[in-house]
Amino acid sequence: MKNKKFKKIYSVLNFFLIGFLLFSQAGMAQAISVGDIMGAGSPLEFTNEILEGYGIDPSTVTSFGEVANVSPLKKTPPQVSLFFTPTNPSEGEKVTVTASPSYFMNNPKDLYFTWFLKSEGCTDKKLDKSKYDYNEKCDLDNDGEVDIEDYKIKAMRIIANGGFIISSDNIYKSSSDDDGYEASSGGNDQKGKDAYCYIRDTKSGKEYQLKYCGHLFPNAEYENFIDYNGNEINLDGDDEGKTGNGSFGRNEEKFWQTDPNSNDTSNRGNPDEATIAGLGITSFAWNYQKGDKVGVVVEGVSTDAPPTEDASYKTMWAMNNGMDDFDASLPDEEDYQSTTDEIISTTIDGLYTINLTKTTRQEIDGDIVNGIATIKTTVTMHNVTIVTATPQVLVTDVDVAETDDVPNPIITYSTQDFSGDYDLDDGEIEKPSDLNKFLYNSLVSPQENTPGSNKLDISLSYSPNNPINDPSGASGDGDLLTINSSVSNAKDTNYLQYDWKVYAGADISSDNWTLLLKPELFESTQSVGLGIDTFKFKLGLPDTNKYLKVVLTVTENTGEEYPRKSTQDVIIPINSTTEKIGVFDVLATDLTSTPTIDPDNLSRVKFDSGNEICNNDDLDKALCPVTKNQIIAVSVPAEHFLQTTNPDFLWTIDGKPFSYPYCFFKDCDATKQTHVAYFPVLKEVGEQYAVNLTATNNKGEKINITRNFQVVDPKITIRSADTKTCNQTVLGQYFDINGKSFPDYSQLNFWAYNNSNIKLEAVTTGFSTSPENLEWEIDGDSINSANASVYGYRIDGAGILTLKPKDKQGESYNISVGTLYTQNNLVKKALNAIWGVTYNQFYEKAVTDDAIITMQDPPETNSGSIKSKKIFATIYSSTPDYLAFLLRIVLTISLILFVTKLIFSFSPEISSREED
Amino acid sequence: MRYYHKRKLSSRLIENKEIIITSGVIVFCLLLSLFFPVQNSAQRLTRNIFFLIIVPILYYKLILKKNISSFGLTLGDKKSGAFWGISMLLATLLVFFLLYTYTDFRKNYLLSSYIVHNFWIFLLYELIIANLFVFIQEFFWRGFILLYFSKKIGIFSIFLQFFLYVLILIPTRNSFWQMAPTLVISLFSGIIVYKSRSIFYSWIVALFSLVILDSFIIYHLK
Repeated sequence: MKNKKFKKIYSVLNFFLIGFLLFSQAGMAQAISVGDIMGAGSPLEFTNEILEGYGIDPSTVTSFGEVANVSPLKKTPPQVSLFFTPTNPSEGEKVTVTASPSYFMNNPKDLYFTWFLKSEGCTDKKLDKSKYDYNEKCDLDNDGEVDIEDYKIKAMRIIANGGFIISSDNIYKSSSDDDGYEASSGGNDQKGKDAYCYIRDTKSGKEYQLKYCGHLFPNAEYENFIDYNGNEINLDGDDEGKTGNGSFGRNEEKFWQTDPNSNDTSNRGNPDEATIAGLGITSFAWNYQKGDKVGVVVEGVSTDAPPTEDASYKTMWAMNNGMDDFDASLPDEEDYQSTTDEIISTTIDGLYTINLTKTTRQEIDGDIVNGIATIKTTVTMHNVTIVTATPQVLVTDVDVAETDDVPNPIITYSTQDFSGDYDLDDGEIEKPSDLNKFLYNSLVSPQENTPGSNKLDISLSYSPNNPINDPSGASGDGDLLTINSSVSNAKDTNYLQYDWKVYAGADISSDNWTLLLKPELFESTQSVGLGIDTFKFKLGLPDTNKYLKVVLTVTENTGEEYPRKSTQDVIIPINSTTEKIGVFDVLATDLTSTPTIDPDNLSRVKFDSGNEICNNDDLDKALCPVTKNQIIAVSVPAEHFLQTTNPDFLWTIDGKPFSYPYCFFKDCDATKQTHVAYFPVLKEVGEQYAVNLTATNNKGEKINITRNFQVVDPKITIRSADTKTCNQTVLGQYFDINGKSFPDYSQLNFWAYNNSNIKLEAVTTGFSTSPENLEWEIDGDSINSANASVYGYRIDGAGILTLKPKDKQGESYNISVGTLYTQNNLVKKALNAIWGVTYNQFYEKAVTDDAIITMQDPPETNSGSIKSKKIFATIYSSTPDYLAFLLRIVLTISLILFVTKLIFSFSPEISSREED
Repeated sequence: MRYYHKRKLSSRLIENKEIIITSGVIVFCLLLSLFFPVQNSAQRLTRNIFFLIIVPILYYKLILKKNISSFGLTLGDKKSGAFWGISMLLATLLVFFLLYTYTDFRKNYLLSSYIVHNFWIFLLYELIIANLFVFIQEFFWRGFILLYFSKKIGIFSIFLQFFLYVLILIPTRNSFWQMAPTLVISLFSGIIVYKSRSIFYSWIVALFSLVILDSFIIYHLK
């Protein structure tokens, strides 16, 4: 408030003051200092007052000015980037490298692109240093040294030649073209302008003008060149071989291997010499060889103009690399300070000599901008008193004005151009060709130039999404974890070498991942090798492992210089649980006669779990066979899912939650799902169900387990209950995709030993039946539980049929078993009431199976006997039957006679009396 | 009154060791001729030749150091042979006739249809197979058993060999009627051999009787 009032007063006073100055005589007659009137100390303060009056912070203006002062240093110089296609070429493959210039004022077609190509076999002193080994084939200008000029010639020859085939040197004896081109400094569109060549210090941002301008073009220089007439000449770049001089004679044509009868050998729309100058050559293609490196330098004009009174712009060069280390600097300001003393007069006074001295001191005032500096020259006069005898300076009087001619001190200002007087780290740069030394570092290979070209894009995926680990090991029910990989940028997937590794850890952020060896990964597939893009193993790991880290290293080995190798990993959370979904057939109870029990159960049929099914055979565990219109109970042990832990059961079938109109089974809860669920099999034969349970067990583990079912036709099969004495005949072996063999059993023929009872059982698939319902037929006789003993057979309570063996090898039993498959009436009733299955959908089916059991002798168990028998058998089998028979009979007779003789030898001779 | 020295059993065994051992050899030969494994008829014939002919011969020659003529391979008492031979042939044929006429013999005595319908096969069968069979029977049962035991037990040896023959027919499981002719021959041949001390007469009588029987049956079949 106070300030506001003050400002009003201040404004009124200003008004009156201005009026007074304008209209008073005093104001017109004499100058009055504003500062005196305002009471301010300086103009700066006055300016600040004004700025502040308008709400501008003077410091902002200062900062803006500071930025403006250095803004020329911040400008981006002309640049060029290279792109290779393909980025990781194979030997012999055509590679195209494209230059993308920027921050040039020219259109790219007017820029000069000088390409250079270095092959692996060509070494130079600059890059290869001690490995340099002169290769005559690489010395294309025949100057006795392989250098950047040779690399330029090699690249520009390829460009200019454009695939032209030189049939013989004689073609250069005549020329019908006119393909000369006169290059302009700074680009094709800078003709007629003065050339000002600049280079830029990368670090400081300062630009320095070169003393001389020119180009970096390769020239047709070759000592002992055989000219188009066959004469040996010295082709000199300064003379006829200079590129861009407007003349492109036959010797140049021959040197550059262009068509002497074509103005544009490479069909790029430019004369041949312009092509060699790189006019508009934004891309370059060649057949890649291992170790090739390529680079480019682009000549054009920058967007910045030199401080000259003409239309010129700064000619500058951009290279894809190499100038990063360029560091130029002017000498320090102190280096430009100079002091000169001139003795004007000398006076001797006794022991002292007094010199009147004129000292001229020059120094740079302020900064050097674009090489131009203001020089401050200060001239002072002073007496220097010296002891004559010693001589020792005793005192110097400063700023003594002794003459009228020389006021003391005299200060003058002048400007001086320091451009070109800078120092370089790497020698002097006076002309563009001095930039060649930087071009070596511009050489890059396709692989080096393209970040990520050596990286293979690997993606990993795994299934199932929530893998279940069974800590009980390989025999458990852990999921088969499948990890799939894909490499999107592989050249040829057949040449990808895969190396899978699996680590286990208790924590996802753990640094302690433990490598799991192959024996720990049950049923694991091959982990190392070509083309193994999938890795599988069964989860049977200790339950301390909560996460698996699968690391895949892929190496692409197609013979390139830089084989690509990348690693990708994926962390897979695993749920360790021994929980399994148990599958049961159902027991149905009729509640019709007891209306007070479960009155809400409108079906009047109550179900309970019966016998567990699909629990013995691995195949059944994986895919449980069920029959249409069967009701299946699935459950998990209730004690593992106590209500106190809020298990939150979610049963789904084919992704849809189970739902019931009312409770009709034991352990049912009308409000939520429990550890038991029931579902009817309503799909057709061949179709499948997936029943899934998500819940939290007592340990707090979130489990997600699944059982799969397949609808099959009801089937009954005869199986041996004691496979040691009777089993199906093995027909052969079949092999799975992993090479594991399995016996191929006959479904009809069985063998049995003729010294053991034969025990058979009837195995039902997709339904259950009691032994009483089975009808056996043995060699034409109908057998059941009641009459089995009459025929000498036995059927026990489990339905196992026991037969006595037949004596002789080759004898056989013809057996069949059958039953009638049909749904229980209560099941039919429930299916109709609960799931709406109409009664005409139910069916009956007679199922049977046959078996022929052939007797065979049991094997010998005595290994020694077997061994000896093998020897005799060998002899025996190789001898005709009859001879063997004779041998046996002779041996028998010999034995009889021998024994008889032996017995006689133990007793006295037969007496003559006995004879009589 | 005859007087018998009272001797120990062991000394009696030693004194009768030849009878015991020979009995053992006979039993072994019979068992082996029945149960020694064979695979075909040729081996079966060979088995019989070896155990019913060769073994007894070797036993006599090598163990008992006796002449093989002891098997009745001599003409013996020719008169007795001729007389008893003819008598027993008639008796045999009579028994055959009675069996054929009054029993089920003709229904159960089987002949191969080849023999029945082809004379030459019949002739070949009778002269070779039947002849060989008869010779083996005569050689072992009469020449070996009967003649050996006839020195020890006299005429009872006829019944002994007959009894043994009946015994071994049991495990062969052949039908009674099929073997009835050989039973008859066994008894009557025993008498011939016992009287003549030769198996030639009984061999001829047995062969003739069988040929006549077969011929008679074939005759009646046709």
